[in-house]
Amino acid sequence: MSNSAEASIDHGHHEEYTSTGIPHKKLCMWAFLASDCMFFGTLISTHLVYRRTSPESLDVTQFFDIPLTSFSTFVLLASSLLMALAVSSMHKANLKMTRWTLFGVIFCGLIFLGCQVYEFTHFVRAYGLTLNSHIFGSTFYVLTGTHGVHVSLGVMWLIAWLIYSFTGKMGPEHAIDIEVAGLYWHFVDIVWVIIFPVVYLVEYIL
Amino acid sequence: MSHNPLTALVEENKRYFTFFNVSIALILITGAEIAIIEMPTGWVFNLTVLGILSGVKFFCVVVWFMHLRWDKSLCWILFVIGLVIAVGTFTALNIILMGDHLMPTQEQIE
Repeated sequence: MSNSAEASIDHGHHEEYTSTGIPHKKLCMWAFLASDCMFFGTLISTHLVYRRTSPESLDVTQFFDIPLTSFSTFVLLASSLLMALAVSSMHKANLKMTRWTLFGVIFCGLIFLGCQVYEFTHFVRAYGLTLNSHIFGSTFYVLTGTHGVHVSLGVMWLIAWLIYSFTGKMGPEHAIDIEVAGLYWHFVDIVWVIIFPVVYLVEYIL
Repeated sequence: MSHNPLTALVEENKRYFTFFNVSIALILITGAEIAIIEMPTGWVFNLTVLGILSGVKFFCVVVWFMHLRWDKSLCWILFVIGLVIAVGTFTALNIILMGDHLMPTQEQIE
């Protein structure tokens, strides 16, 4: 094993641990994710409640594009795999592999965002569905838009790390930073894992 | 994670292949989710299966991709607290606000 790999794997020496034995950054991220869980929980609840109690009926299956949304879902799942590989590569001090996988995650994130922008634009132009036109539009755009903002922030965060990796300053001590960014990215993925069936697929069942 | 560099590297290599297996499982489950909406098996069955499949996907990502399987239990506890409050809010709102008494009457619709 190379010295750099050993140094990276023994990353415990570089991290600041809380009294719980968990690094500060990781503990903070888990606390943030727990709060974000509640945030999305209320947004999803609001969407479902209004979807059922709204006096104006709207057959959204007429304008949902399941093949496109399924494609976005697969892209986001692929990005999650790449993110897990990026974290793994960073722990093994394989900077080249980390860069490629981070690039892959960013690329997948941008494709996802592109699909979302296309979907929103299509809904507005072809069906006139805006934030104000229908209660479904309000809850749908707020929920999926908030998720999109999370994806955008994740992409920006990862772009920053990708750029930083070319400065020559990125070392084994940054493994925890990539891991924390990875936690955030995977959370964005699991939120979509819930949104996809609850917002899109359920409409075809009920 | 172990602080022994060699053990940690071996563990990391094992995880590498686990990530691929989990990913394949996630893709297959997503395919099944999409297929279920076309099944003529009734909405109760379809909705139940969809819920179970989504739950499995959710926990696959949390357990393996987010490393909770290998992390300290406090991370689990923190996340589950948020999750329980989210699910509790969801359940409470659905019980309170989705009763038939809140459904619009025909007159209101008209």
